[in-house]
Amino acid sequence: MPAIQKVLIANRGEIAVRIIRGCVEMGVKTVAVYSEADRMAPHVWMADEAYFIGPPHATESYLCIEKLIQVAKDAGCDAVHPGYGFLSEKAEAADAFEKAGLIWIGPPVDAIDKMGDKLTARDTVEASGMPLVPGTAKGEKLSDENLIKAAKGIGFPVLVKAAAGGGGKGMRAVYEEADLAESIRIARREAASAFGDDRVYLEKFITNARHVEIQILGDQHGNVIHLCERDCSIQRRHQKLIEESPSPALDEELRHRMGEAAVNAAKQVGYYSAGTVEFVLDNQTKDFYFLEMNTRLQVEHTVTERVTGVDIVKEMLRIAAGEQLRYRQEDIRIKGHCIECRILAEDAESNFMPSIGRIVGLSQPSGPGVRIDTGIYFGSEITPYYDSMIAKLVVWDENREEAIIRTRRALEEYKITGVATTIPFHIQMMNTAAFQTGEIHTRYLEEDFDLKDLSTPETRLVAAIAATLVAHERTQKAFLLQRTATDGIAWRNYSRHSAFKQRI
Amino acid sequence: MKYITTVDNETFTLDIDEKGVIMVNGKPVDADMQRALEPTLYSLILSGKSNDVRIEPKEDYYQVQVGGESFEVVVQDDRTHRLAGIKAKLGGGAGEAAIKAPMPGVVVETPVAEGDEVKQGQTVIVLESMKMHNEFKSPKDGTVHAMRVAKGDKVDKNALLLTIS
Repeated sequence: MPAIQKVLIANRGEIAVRIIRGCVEMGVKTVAVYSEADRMAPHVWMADEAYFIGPPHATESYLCIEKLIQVAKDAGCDAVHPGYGFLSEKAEAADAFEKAGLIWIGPPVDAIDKMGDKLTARDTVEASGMPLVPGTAKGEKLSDENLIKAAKGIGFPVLVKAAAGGGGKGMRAVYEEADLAESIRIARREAASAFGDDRVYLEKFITNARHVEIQILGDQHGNVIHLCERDCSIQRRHQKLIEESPSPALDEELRHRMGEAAVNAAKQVGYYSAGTVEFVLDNQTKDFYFLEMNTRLQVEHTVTERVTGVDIVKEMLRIAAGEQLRYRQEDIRIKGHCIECRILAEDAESNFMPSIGRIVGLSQPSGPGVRIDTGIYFGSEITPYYDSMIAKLVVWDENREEAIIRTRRALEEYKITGVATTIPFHIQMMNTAAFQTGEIHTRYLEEDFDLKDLSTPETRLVAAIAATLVAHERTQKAFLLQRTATDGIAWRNYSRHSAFKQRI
Repeated sequence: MKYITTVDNETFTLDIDEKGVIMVNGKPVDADMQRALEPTLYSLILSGKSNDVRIEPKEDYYQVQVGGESFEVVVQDDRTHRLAGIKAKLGGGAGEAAIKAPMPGVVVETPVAEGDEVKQGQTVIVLESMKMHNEFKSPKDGTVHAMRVAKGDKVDKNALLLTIS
């Protein structure tokens, strides 16, 4: 197989930036695509070439397979990296690119097909000896009535999930039979809108559970290894907010068993490239069950990169070019502890309401152990067209306790003005005893966590004085026009310097 | 100049004289505020205590970030403050329920039309924002008086979507 020279990045935002960085480090040329909303996004100017592909709505741009293939051909690309979301888990997209003569930097079409549909995925991995959570089994299109009938057999609570879904889209927890019909209706509509496929299925909801997943890496020569686990138990509406590695709930023995189960499942479908096998881990019994397999690069691949030292994006490129895996299982060791906080444009104080606007102020943390992957910059516009994640703060230290302290330090340095963000939420989580001791479960955030008002008389006084001084300067400027006074800003004299001259 | 400044539920009275001396609730404070070249970024040293402050002027308040906390700060000069007090007393209630967009988004469904009878709790509009569908329900029984948006419209935060009378 030929080496890869030029890659089309069929994505946007921070993950497009991440892939470009990997390509640049390997001397591979990059081609970006952008919608009307993204002309001035960083991935556009970081790539060697960039092409316009249509209106902001993803169905008319980032999801248009034909447009993307045309760009790839015109630009002379030999491969495509789908990132996560968008086309990344669509077998028909991988197939179309390959038929057009482009290498799909991801798993084989057949593996996406088998694992991407969560219903066939369950049957497929069961054959590899994988334990499964009870639920509706077959990939057939079940009617609402049949789903409701099946739910009685499984027992409440149940989860309604989109067959084509991912990232919690179209997923609902239902505690009583009375709410099931309505939840199926909403889940179907969200699934149809997000994935163009309204099939849903049911699964037993294990209530005191952790979300633990195993990162897989395999080559095209039959070698598959795992890069240990990530714990993603801090979730809201099944959307991950914080991920860490290692998991506070795993010991070497359990890590080995889960890793082995994940590798066997991957081998069952002839998997290669990067992938993630997600598990539900029962906090009490430590039993684990297969949840799903994500046949793509994951948002939180960064924490695994940090603790294992493996650059997953670069390995994906090497694997796609046909190279042998450069690591054996015994080469993989976890060093230290890494925590990722997803910085979302959402207002945690208003029930995580999306927040949209222009970034008018930005201070990003740095210093020891801090990595930021982001697709925004000072002046960026956060639009309603794409998901709300604007950055990932990835922090490493020698152990979990110190990693939490360092993460809090970095969060306190992180200032974003113009949109509400989840930074205040993350600061509080780092200060919470349950998180510090690791005694959490997947519903902890929704059920046991309260966002508190942490303001003190001192911070309120600072806010009052600062805002009043800005207001005062503005009114004084307004008066200046009327009075033609020469000495405008009175309180300036009180400061040690007179730098405060710009118009607000 | 005298200002009445409200942070959360706490009200401060600030007086800034021509020499720039700042009094808070009648007591002088030692404050040095400087602006960075980047807009919205300030440094405020208050009696030796150093703070980086982010201030974003909004329509009728300031969004202020201090030490990982974010505040909505309302600053009124003395005169405006007194006028606002009188207005509040004159204001009356209306019989219409207005449904406004709590966030920007795209209208994906308008299950009701002008003149339709609606029940309390009935879904009257569905807004999609950041890939999530949010259903808005009627707060009361009534009639759709005005439908201000159509399917596919992009709406801003606080935009009026429909009214129910």
